[in-house]
This record gives sequence, C-alpha cells and structure tokens, in this order.
Amino acid sequence: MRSPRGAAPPRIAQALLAACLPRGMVRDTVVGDLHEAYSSIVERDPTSGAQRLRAGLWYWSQLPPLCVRYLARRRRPRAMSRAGAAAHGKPPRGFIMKDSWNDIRFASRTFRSSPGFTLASVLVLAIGIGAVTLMFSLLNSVVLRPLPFEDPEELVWISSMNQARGVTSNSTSALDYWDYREQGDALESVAAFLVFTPQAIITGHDEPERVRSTIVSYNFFATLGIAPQLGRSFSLEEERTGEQNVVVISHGFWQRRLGGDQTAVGTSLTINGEPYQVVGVMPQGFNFPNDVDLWYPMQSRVGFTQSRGNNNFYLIGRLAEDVPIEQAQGQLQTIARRIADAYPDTNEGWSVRLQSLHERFFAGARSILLIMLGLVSLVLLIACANVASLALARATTRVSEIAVRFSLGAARSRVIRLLLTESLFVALLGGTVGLALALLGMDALKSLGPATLPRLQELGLDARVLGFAFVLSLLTSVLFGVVPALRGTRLSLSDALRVGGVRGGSPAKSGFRSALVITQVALSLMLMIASGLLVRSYSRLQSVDPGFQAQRLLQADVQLPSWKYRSNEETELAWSLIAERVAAIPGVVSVGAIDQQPIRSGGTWNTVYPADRPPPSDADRNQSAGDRRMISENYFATMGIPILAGRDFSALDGPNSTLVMIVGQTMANRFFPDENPLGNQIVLWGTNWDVVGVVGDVREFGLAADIPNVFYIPARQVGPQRLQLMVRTAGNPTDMAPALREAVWEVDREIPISGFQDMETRIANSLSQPRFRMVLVALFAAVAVVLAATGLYGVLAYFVRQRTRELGIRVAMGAAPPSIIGLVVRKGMSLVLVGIAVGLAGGFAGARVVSSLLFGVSATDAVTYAGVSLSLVAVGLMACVVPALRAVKVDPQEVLRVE
Amino acid sequence: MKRTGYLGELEQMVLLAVLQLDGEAFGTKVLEELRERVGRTVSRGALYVTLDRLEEKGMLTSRLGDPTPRRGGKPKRYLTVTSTGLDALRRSRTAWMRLWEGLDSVLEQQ
Repeated sequence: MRSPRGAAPPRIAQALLAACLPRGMVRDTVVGDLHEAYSSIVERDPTSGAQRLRAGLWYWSQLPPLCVRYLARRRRPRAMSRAGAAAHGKPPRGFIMKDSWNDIRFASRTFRSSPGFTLASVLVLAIGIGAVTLMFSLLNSVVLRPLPFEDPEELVWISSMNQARGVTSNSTSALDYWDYREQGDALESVAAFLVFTPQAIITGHDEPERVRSTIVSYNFFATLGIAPQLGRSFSLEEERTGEQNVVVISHGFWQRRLGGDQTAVGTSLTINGEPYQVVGVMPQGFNFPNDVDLWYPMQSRVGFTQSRGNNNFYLIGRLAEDVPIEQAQGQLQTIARRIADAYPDTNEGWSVRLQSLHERFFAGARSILLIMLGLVSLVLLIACANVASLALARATTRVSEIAVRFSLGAARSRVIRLLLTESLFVALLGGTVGLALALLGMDALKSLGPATLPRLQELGLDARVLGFAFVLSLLTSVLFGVVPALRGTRLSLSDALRVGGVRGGSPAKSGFRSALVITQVALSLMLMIASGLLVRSYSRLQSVDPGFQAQRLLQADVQLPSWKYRSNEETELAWSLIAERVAAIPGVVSVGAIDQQPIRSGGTWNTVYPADRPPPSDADRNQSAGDRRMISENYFATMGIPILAGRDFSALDGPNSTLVMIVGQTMANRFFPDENPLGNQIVLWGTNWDVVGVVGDVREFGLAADIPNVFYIPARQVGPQRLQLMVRTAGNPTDMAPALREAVWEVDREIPISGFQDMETRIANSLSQPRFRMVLVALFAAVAVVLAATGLYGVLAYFVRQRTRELGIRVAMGAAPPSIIGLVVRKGMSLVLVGIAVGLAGGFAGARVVSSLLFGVSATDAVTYAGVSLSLVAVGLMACVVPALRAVKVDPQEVLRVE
Repeated sequence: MKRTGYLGELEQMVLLAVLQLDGEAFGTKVLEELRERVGRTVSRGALYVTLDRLEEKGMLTSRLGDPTPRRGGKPKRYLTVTSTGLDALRRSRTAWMRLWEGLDSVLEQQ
C-alpha cells in the first residue's frame, strides 16, 4: 500500500474523502490541506514506520466528521424541495432516505446515552472483524493479488511428468524445451530458465561481489511481458550460437555496481573472470527467478543443455489468445509422445502437465491460509453471538420506549428498521475500529511472520480488503441484529406500558440467550481444540532429533572462483588449506565441509543401486534414488553424526585412490536389508563405489519430513568448487564469523565467504511457519474464550437480576448460601456442558481440516480434546462465581419491600 | 440561523481568525489560529462547511495558491473577508456591545 512517493496519505482514505466532497475547488483544497497536515505529521520522524502509521490513522480519523458534514450538506437542498413536491400530490422524494437519516441520527444519540453498551459491542465486534480482516488481508496479499507480470492469468507452468514413476512435477531438458517451443502453437510463447541460480563472481572496479545468476531462453522476458528498461533482451541468434558473452542485468545491480549509469548498455563486466557485454537493464523490482541479478542466454553448446536426460530447465508458457489451458496441455502432450517415440532411452513414459502459474506458486500457502481464515471466522461468530446477547439484554430495558412508539402509531416494520439501523451503526463502528486493529496487526505480522511465506512484506490495505471489511460489517449487523430486533418488537402494549416496564424477559427470550451462550462455548471449544492440537504438534516437532548436534555449530558458504580453481588437484589443495587455517582459529573445536547442509528444501539426487544387482527398471528407479552429499573428512565428527559401522573418510581417499562411499542408516537398511553393507559396492554415475561406512540418519529436509536415502562421497574425489563449512565452536558460533572470514582470505583474498548462520537458528527458522500458525491460532482461541466467558457471565448476571425476587424469597425462607450458589452455578454449568458437548462434536467433524497442519499428533487426539474441555469447564466456573456471589448477597427485606 | 440575522458563534470566530491571519488564511491555519488564540478545537468538517457557507453568503472570498508536492499537488484556498463579511461582523459586534453595556460590574461581583 505504501506509495513510492514517500509521504502520501493512505490512498483509499484519500479516495473516500474525495468521493464525499463536492467536485471542484472545495475538494481540491480540502484534500490538499489534509495532505499537507499528514505530511507534517510524518515529517516529525520521517524514517519511522510507527510515525507513518500514526499519520495514517490520524488521516482516517479525519474522514468521519468531514464526510458526514458534507454528505449531510449535499442532501439538504433536496429535503427543502420536499414540501413543494408533496403539495402536488406526489409522494415526497427522498422520504425513505430522510427517515433513514433520522434513524441514523437517533441511533447515534441513543448510543451516546448508553456508552457502556455501545463501547462493549463495538469493541467485541472490532476484535472479531479485525481478526478476520487481518487474515483476509494476509490471504489477499499472499495469494489473491496477481503476479507482477503482464497479463499473469495467461501464464502457465509447464512441468514434465511420468506416471509410471510417480513423478508429477519435474523440470525439463533444454532439447525437449526447444521441441515444445518449435512444434506447438497453442502457446503464444514458451520460455525456459535454469532450475538453479548459480553464483557469479564479479571482479574489476570495486571489491569482488557474488550475485545470483540464471540462464534463460531468448524470449524469457517477452513471455513474462517485462521489457528491459534500457537496452534490449537477447536475440534468437545469441541463444543459438552463444558465441558472444552477453548479459542482462537487474535494476539493483545497475544502481549498485554501475551507479545507474545511463550509458551502461554496451559496457563490459568481468564475470567469473571472463568479459561480458551488458546488453540490457531490467526495470526495478524484476529479479525473477529467485532474486537473480544477471541473466545469460541459453547456449546450445553448454553442457547442461545437451542431453534429453538433463532436466535442467523450468518452463513458463503464455497461452495463445482464446486457447484454454486443457487444449494447450493436449497439444504439448502430443509433442511429448512424439519425443518419447523418437528418444525412448531418455523419454520413455514422460509426458507434460500444465497448471496456472499462480496455482504453482501459491496453492500451498492458499490452503493453509484458507484454513486459518476459517478458524478465525469462528472468533467473529462468537463476537456476533456476544453482541446479539448484549442487544437482547438491552432490548428488555427499552421495552417502554418501544411501547410508546407503538402507541403513537409506529408500524412494527418502522421500529424494526430503527433497531436494525442501530445494529448497522454499531457494526460499522466496530468495522472501522476493527480495520484499525487489523492495520496494527499487519505491521506485527510483517515483523513476526515467517520469512518463508511468499509476498508477506507486501501485506497492506487495498480496496479489496476495505471492501471485505465493509461487507463483513454489514453481514455481522444482520447476524447479531435481526433476532433482537424481531424479538424486541414482539410485545403487547398492555404488557409494556405497565408501570416500570417488564422486569426481566419472557422465558423464551432467556432461552435464546442461553442458546447464544451454548454457541459461543461450542465455537470457542473448537478453536481451543485446533489450538491445542497445533501446540502439541509443535512441541512434537521441536523434540525431533535432527540427527546432529546443532548447538554451537556455525555454517558458512564458501565458493572457489571457478577460473582460478579448475582441476581436482587445485580445489583439493584449496579446501585442505582452508580447513587447516580454520581449525587453527582459537575457539574452533572442529571443522568439516559439505556441499548441501541438512535442514533444506531440496537437493541433488542420483539413481544408485548395488553393483551385484541389475540396474533398476524404470518403475523402480524412484525407490532407487539417493540424495548425494559431498563431504570433507571430519564432517561427521564435527556435526556429531555417529559412525555406526566402518570408517570415516580420510585424507587418503583422494582423486587417485579407490572410490569410496558412506551411506546413511535408512539407505543401508533399504539397500542391504539382510547383509552387511560394508564391502559391498554401489553404482553411481556408471562406476562402482566401495561402501566403507554407515552413519546415523539426518533430517535432511526438515524435522517434519521423512528421512530419505542419503549417501556421502569424499569431496576430494569429486573436486567441488563450492562447499558449506561447518564449524564447531567453543563459544557463541556467530561471534566466530569475522575470524572465519579472515582465515579463508589468508588462503586467497578472492574467495567469497558468506551466508553465516548458526545451525540452531537454521532449525528454528525451519519451524517458523508451524510456530506462526500455532501462535496465531492460540491467539484466536484466547480471544474466543474470553468472549465466551463474558457472554456466559452476562447471561448469568441477567439470570440473577431477573430472579432477584425469587432468590430473596428463598433466602427469607432459610435457604443456605451453598444452595443459592448451587442454583446459579448449575444454571451456568449446564450451558457450558451442553456447549462443550456440541463443541466436541464439531471438533471431531472439523478435525480433518487441520490434520494437514499437524505433525505427530492425530487430529482426534483424545488428550487434547479432554484437556481443552477441562480448561473450558474451569473458565466457565470462574464466569459463574461473581453472579453466584451476588445472588447470595440478595437482601430479602429489600426485595420484599419493593414489592 | 436566518439570513438577515446575526452571525453564529463559529462563523464569527472564523471570520475574525481569517482577519487576524491577514491574507495568509487557509483551512489548517484557521484551525490553528482558533486553537492558539481561544483554545477552541474545531473539527475540520465543521470548519470547512462553515467556510463554504460564509462564502455562499458572500462574506468570504477565496483565491487559489500554487499547488505543492507537500499537498499532493493540490492548491491552497486562501481566504479573504469581503465587505459584506466586515459589515456582518460590525453588526454583530454592535449588537453584543449593546447587550453587554452596563453589565461589567454585575459580572465582576461573581
């Protein structure tokens, strides 16, 4: 929502204001005055977000008085002409409006005379509406907003699939891509980009910098509909021959590295030691995919574009005009079949699947956010029940007023309308306050929410959220207003005009209030169940053993510049030197290295199988996949991963000695269920590797994920240019980062080192989404319980007041305090117990919904259900205490004297 | 308030504030003037509507200032009291003074 201009008032508020004001000079100058006043509030502390929020809230607060005055003014001339119209026998125009206006004015006056009721209702509704609006705005910005591409609804994600192997979504090879692009016409264009984003090292001019880069088809930018801001994108010629080194750079890179020089196009950059010519600069904000700064054209001569088995590219297509996605999918599948027939070795059984780009990116987040929205709606329902209950109680005190209206000839419908206007008034006030609460909540979410939630930082108010809150307010006014209005106007004059009005209500009326309490208890129990399940699930997650010792373990990302370290001997020497220097730092206990550290969301895998068995058939190939990790010697010792059998790698397992492999326990059990894995051989890349050790399992893909087959091979035998250093420290791990950097730079100042992170933080971050959900739902549940408890309290207090006379007589007849207390508590607890029974049933029924969010806990976990029910009983008892004590204090003399 | 009658309290205050500001008066300034001089907080809605009404009655005229970025590119509405406005003020002041005559001593005793 924040405008790039800096200090601009909330756009929606500005538009609303303009809509209320008469066109012309008045509108311009008033809007201008407010803009200026807003600016001066912001300028008191221009860098502070809180100050901006304050200014925004101030701006919003200016709207109601201004809009009301001006709208009222606009109506007046019409009202004045009414007399004339009536004289001509026509029905007065604007009559209904005029009455509504009166109703509104009357409502606002009524509320001013009973601020307690108004305040309570508005607050309760604001909490409900605010919470739902907050969740909706989260859903809105994360999922509903369109992608930042041209006509994003035309874009589709194209993935390879293989039903026989159970692969539903895979990347695609460059050769297949070129076939799709050339042979089909259902897609206007198909673009490809590399699945990973290699680091590129920029040298020359300033200090070396490492950025992410990607390789794209020549039509990548055109397919997404984003044109370069300067220069051009790639030509087909550049993609085909790849003879010139050309590159397109991001706006950020251009600003940072080239100082935003307008003549940057055509200049030369040194990337990975080679000269590249800049041909284009992309506009601000475009860093797709994965925050890259450099794009190179695909080149058919480069290794990873060469075989159909190298599925190194993701494809995005743009549908041709009026072609449905199914038709495009059908056409691509025909092409896929043709390819499979021509190249059975690599493409047998492979086909292709299309889904909208939006679904590909946001389907996961959407289902979770929808569940959360569903849960938070329960809070709003409780709030409505609560306010309805308040409104009913209030209706009984207004019986005389309503009776007077009837006796003066008001139609029932007219009185109902008045009452509904009051509800609407309360709902809109509640909605406004709720919106303000939601705004505050958004700022909180942005700082507390998990970084892994896409587009969280774009969270903000827009027309859709505003409209949602408005409709929600209208809806709630119906929910809590209709029944009290209908019931409040169903009375006979003789009843109502009795002196002093009616004490208490009819039994039917209190029956309805009881039903409302039962509803509130049931709904809050359901929320408590959800919250309890998430809490238990989270504590289960936290107690999962990651398979290594995460304490005092620092990770750092180190990359050897590829132009300096080419051969296996060169990299081996560099890594040995780095390990030596790092180990010599005081405070470093031990050091190891791995290419892909655990607790990650994907990685490289290969097909592997025992050498004494035949290669797996296509159907078995999936079970035969193993995640490949390259490690240094001493990695297991540093990580605290136990060696269960055999030995660790040593410095002797070099490029020229026998190829060796260590397998994880799960893989050992699956590959060699009945024999000792040691001494066996495993085929990787068509070569035999000796299994020399078995190590403990590690949670590669996070604490909640299954343990995959993992095997380790010595980095010395492969010669990687990039590894993650894992350093066990004596003290606080992150304090060691500067010393670590110095140690690496002692080996070579051109080696970039970055990505310092201690592993405990890494694990905690991997739990940020479940933690976020748990905290949110717990918050909802807490609000729900408080609302339900106040609802119960209200009904009991009312019950006691209504029965004061009866209680007085009981006391006078000698009833002991315990029996009086028992009367009230029984009444209260019977409602709570019925509510709990309903809530338990609802919880069981709705359990499936949350089960996808749970880990290690069944959605019908008996402990959780029993626990939350008991705590709700305790809360219910507390809500009974005050009314019960008040009942005991009833003075019989006083009660009877009144009679 | 009848058209031939006297100025309302807020109308009178606004006209006087505009005069005090001597050619530099516009919405926000008038609000501040009222707050600083007499400690009266007026809502913007009330003020703008009053300004419009006074202009309709011919007691105020306005001219537009230059738009600035700080105002989101919107102009300022500078206000001047017209001779009709001055007449109205004079009439009100005369009326008040007549009614106040001789009452100072009564009030001082309180």
